[in-house]
Amino acid sequence: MHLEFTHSAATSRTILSRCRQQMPLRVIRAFPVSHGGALVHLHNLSGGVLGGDDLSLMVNVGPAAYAQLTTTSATRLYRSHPQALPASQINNIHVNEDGLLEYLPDPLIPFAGSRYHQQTRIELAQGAGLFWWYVVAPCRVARDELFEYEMLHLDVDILALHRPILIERARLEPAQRKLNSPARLGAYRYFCNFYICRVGLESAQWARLEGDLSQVAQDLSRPGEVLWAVSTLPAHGLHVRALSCRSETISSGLYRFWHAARLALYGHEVLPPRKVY
Amino acid sequence: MPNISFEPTALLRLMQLADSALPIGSAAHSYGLETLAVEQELTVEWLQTFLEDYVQEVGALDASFCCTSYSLVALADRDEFVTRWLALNARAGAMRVARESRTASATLGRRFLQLIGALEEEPLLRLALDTLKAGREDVHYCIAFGLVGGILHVDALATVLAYLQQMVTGLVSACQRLLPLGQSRAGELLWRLKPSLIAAAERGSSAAHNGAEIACFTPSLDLGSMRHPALGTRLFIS
Repeated sequence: MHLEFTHSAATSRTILSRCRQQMPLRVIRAFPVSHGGALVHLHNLSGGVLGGDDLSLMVNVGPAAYAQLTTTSATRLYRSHPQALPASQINNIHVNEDGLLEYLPDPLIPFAGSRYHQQTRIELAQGAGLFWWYVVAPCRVARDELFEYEMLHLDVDILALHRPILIERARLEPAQRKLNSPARLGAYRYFCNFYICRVGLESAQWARLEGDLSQVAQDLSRPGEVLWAVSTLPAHGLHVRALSCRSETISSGLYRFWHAARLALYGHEVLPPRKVY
Repeated sequence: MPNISFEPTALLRLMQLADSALPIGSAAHSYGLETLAVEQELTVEWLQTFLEDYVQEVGALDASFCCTSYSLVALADRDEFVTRWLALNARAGAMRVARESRTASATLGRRFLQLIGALEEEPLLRLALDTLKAGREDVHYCIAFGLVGGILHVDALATVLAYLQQMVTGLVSACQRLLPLGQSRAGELLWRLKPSLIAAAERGSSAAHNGAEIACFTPSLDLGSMRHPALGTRLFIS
């Protein structure tokens, strides 16, 4: 799927100017949101990701454009056939000068026996803004499945002005490396990462925001149930991370951070994409 | 397991570089362990598992950086050295998500290079330091260690193993201040970590030689480091 968002100077609105798509990924249309933005829901019409799926999402947010992307439900990663290749999704995202992208997908739920590799590369130009989170469930908790997936590989590269500011390479293979190790997830089951960037802000501003959001983290944390923390990136942004025993605490917490950061960086309140947080 | 050859001077220098008494301030950093101990996410009972997993994740990653840095010494083209030196440190910084741990690594890396720079008149070392200073860039400890190992003609694998050994020695020492961990038990933990250190060194070296990537998944540890500034009382800087 290839999405392009363009800011129209005439209307001061962002439009979905290009949408090239192929099954199973689908976008129906873009919805206008406040402050001239465009909201798009990403659908996976097969209901989830199957073994051997090879998915691609390319997003280009044009200069001064504002796009909000979300999904319609959690992304289910189904059990892979032993002979099938691991399922794969590659996300390539560009946010151009003074553009803003809020990419707020629902959680990943890796089913027992699933094998999945997700690679996300985000390039930010001068003045570009990014709010992007991902949440990973331990499996289908309601079925008493806990870390029974085979393989979950998550690669993230965020570059600002062509320099890496965040690189993550996670290889979760619960049968080989116990996730309940105190070095990994400990007693917690869910984890999330939330990246907040705006290229060009001074490091002192990020230090102040880290301090403010760290107070939110302290308020939200309850050791043994959920832990939150915030840290600046090497430049141009900061990172919020959480470990939790329950998914509800993560979604409500993410909303708090998003709201606080959006207000601090853009002077506007958040515009939730028709979801309950 | 390959043999390691030692020239006596190189051996003695390596022992000094890997000594916990090296005056670069490494004893002031727990890399998030203090938070884990205070919040009781890490106990003595879990320490063996924790350290083995730490070496498997962080150790292997640092080993790959150490090895890659070591190999930069052989570059004949100084411009290429500068480009790859800066890129390697930028990559290491981007992979250290927790600010305090990232800053700790950069502080130790800078002090380490400066210390060696004061002892040895080496053009490549001077170039490395000047490059970083000019761009106000960070140098990370594992990368600095690898570069110095290469400059001093210490065996490559020995350099990586020494780095990992001093890394875990520092962590165990921190744990002795944070947890009810006695001297004998601490020594036993270090003794039994040798296979893990060797495995991490070999993985890191192999990845460095093949241009492959090493993954590292330590969210609990990262959170410990990210939450460390908020601790009411701290023994450690990180």
